[in-house]
Amino acid sequence: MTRLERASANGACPERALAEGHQQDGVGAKAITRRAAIGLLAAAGLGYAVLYRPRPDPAARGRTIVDYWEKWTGHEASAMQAVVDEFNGTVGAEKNIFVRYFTMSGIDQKSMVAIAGGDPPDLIGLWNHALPLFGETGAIQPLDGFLEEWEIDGRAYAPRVWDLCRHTGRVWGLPSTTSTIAFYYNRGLFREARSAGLPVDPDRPPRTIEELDRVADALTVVEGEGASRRVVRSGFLPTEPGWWPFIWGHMFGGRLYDESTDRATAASRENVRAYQWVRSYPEQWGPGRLSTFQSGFGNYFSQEQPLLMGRVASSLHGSFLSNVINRFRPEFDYAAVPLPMDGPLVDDAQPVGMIEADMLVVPSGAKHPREAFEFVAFTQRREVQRRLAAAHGKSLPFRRIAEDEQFIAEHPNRMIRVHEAIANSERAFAKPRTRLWPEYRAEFQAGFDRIWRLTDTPERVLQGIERRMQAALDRAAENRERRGLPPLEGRA
Amino acid sequence: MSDDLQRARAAQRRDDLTGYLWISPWVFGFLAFMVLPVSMSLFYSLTQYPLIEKPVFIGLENYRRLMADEVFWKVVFNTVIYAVFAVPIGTVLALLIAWLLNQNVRFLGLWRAAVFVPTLVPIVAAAMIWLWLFNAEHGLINRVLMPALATVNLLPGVELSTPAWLTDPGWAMPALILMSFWGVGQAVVIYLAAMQDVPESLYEAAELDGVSPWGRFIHVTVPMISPMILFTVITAIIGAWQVFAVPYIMTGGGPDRATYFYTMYLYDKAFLLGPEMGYASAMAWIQLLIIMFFTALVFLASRRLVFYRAG
Repeated sequence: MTRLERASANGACPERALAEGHQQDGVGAKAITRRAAIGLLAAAGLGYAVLYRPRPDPAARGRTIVDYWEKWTGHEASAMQAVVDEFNGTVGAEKNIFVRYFTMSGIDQKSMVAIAGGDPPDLIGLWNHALPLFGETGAIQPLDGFLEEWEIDGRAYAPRVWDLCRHTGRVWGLPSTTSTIAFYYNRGLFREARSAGLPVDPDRPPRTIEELDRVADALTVVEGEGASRRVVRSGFLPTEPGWWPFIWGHMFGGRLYDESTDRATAASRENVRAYQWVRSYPEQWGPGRLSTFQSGFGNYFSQEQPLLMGRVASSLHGSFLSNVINRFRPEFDYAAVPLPMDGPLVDDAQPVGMIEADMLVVPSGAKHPREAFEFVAFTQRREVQRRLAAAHGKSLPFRRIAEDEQFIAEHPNRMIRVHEAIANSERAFAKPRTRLWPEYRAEFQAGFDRIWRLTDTPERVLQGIERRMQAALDRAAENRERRGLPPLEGRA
Repeated sequence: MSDDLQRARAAQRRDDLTGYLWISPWVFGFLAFMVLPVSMSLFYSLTQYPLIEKPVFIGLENYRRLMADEVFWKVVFNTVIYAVFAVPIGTVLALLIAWLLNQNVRFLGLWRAAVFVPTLVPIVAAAMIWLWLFNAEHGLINRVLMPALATVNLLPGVELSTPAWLTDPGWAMPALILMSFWGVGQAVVIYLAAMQDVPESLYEAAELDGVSPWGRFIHVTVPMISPMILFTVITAIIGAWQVFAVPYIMTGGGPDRATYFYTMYLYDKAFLLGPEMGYASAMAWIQLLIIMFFTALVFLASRRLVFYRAG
């Protein structure tokens, strides 16, 4: 018989009986105890969430903490950690500043969300191409005032590096590391080819596009016949490592964007010629065969790196390639030269290559911008830059001085002199300085795929890219107007 | 009113309050993390909002721009193609596997586990495995195809080569559709459970009428589990319209945007390209309408095709 039935039989009120029953069989008492326990747990959880503060590093006690977000991992992250530690132990200790260093992926998105949410770190390591977006939207602070106060002179930097730091007439970031892109080749394969009587010389690498094509033809090896015909080695491959599908126009004197007029110039005559040249590679060897050949390549940072493996005889690389070589194949015999150019554009005094930099920026809303800049200023010391550049396998951001000779002599990349020359050259070029660069790059990647697969002509592809990008640039100008912001210099 | 009744009502109120307290985290979560962001995204879809600047109201401009955006139509096309192939083939495949696993064969538990285990593999790990399987030069799939194609190529005038699965725009989409069947085990488990619920008497009656095993599957099993098929088809359509992680890892949307899907473009617009959170929000609302349209279409079709058992 249930409790309800028993109560009904005794003539008692069923609801009361239920309530009493709860009390008598102890369920009510248990429920209260459980509630109390859950309440206690909830209160403890809430208290922990509200009151918890991470225990600071003992060395940070009493100091202003500067939170620094950086994008690197592995040895690159460790190199900056060493700089942070050195700062915390010297200048930081003296000025009561402690830099707390965090490394993460997707730093631009995370920074954007943190800044938009009003809780940014004090310092962020971005790429130079992110400065226009972050600068124009007011997400980062201009550094001009700090530069004056800390007496950091832009004239100490290589002119092209200094250009990377600037946008709309202001300085938005200072370089943590600087790298340039050059033409690398496998001297061993060049030697073998020369021994076989081919027109290749390891001591005379290609300086022009015509010479590059000759080297590529001589060193490309194809096996088999008919459907089983396959590329087993490429003399030169414009899709390796594939990070810069937009770079080739510069080797013909082209550029992608005219900052002085805010115009996209993807379809310029020089660019069309450049991509007709790019297209000649899949035309000659077959896009499917090249695609299959390239799919067998290993990761960039591994012993299966195709240049190290001898699968490609030459390709474009940043100076940081030396980290891969020194770790996985230190005996690899390589050399580097500036980018080969269209014949009339060759000028040994002003070598051509792409220049990039990792930029330290102070976000808007940073709690300790002055202290953050104290650390930035520390990283701009020449000896600190030398250590960072050597650890990353990169160049110095400064104009060359005689004292840099030792840095060059001891650098892990034996071709660093070439990279230093590019960094100091007036013809070093960078990615277009526009906030729309990520869109431009995405358009270029898709267009490059069509050119490479021979599914469209370079003229049509580049015209399409230019049309879409110009529409995006015009829209960005409209949006500035809508927000009451003055037009960019090129539009004014 | 008697004291007893008052006390009982007070106890009832306490019980109600306890109930509300227990569900309050969910209600709060639903309001804060679902209703609020969804409502805000509707507002943002009417603004120019680059995430780090304040949103500026621009009316329906984002929607107008979307209609003229070549990349938008490309991702819609890609996603439709993916859904059109992955959903029906995946459903039929899952049904057939479930039917086979419903037979009385040896090592049944082993086969069932083998079909379900792939769904437990983390998506990134699965994508990496398939990256290697599809590798044009060293991948297992092409290694298996090579001798077969070599035999076919002996025929005069025939010259076939193995596909560059993920780097050829013509093959990248079929490769991803093929890979989508990796997760078919989840639907198989649902179908298998439904099949075991089909009354044996129906099969016996069909058998007495001389219906073949295949006929019994088509005319008894499929109609009897059709509510489950409806459920999995709808969830598969929603899943297909939201496909993101696998193509993001395996192809990044390339080559030539051949595997660039709706949600990838939405994400890129929100955080990378622009960023244009307003534009991405407009895309999200259009995506919702598309999914609702297809779901309604399936529901309409289901009136004639789905059978619900009475009682």
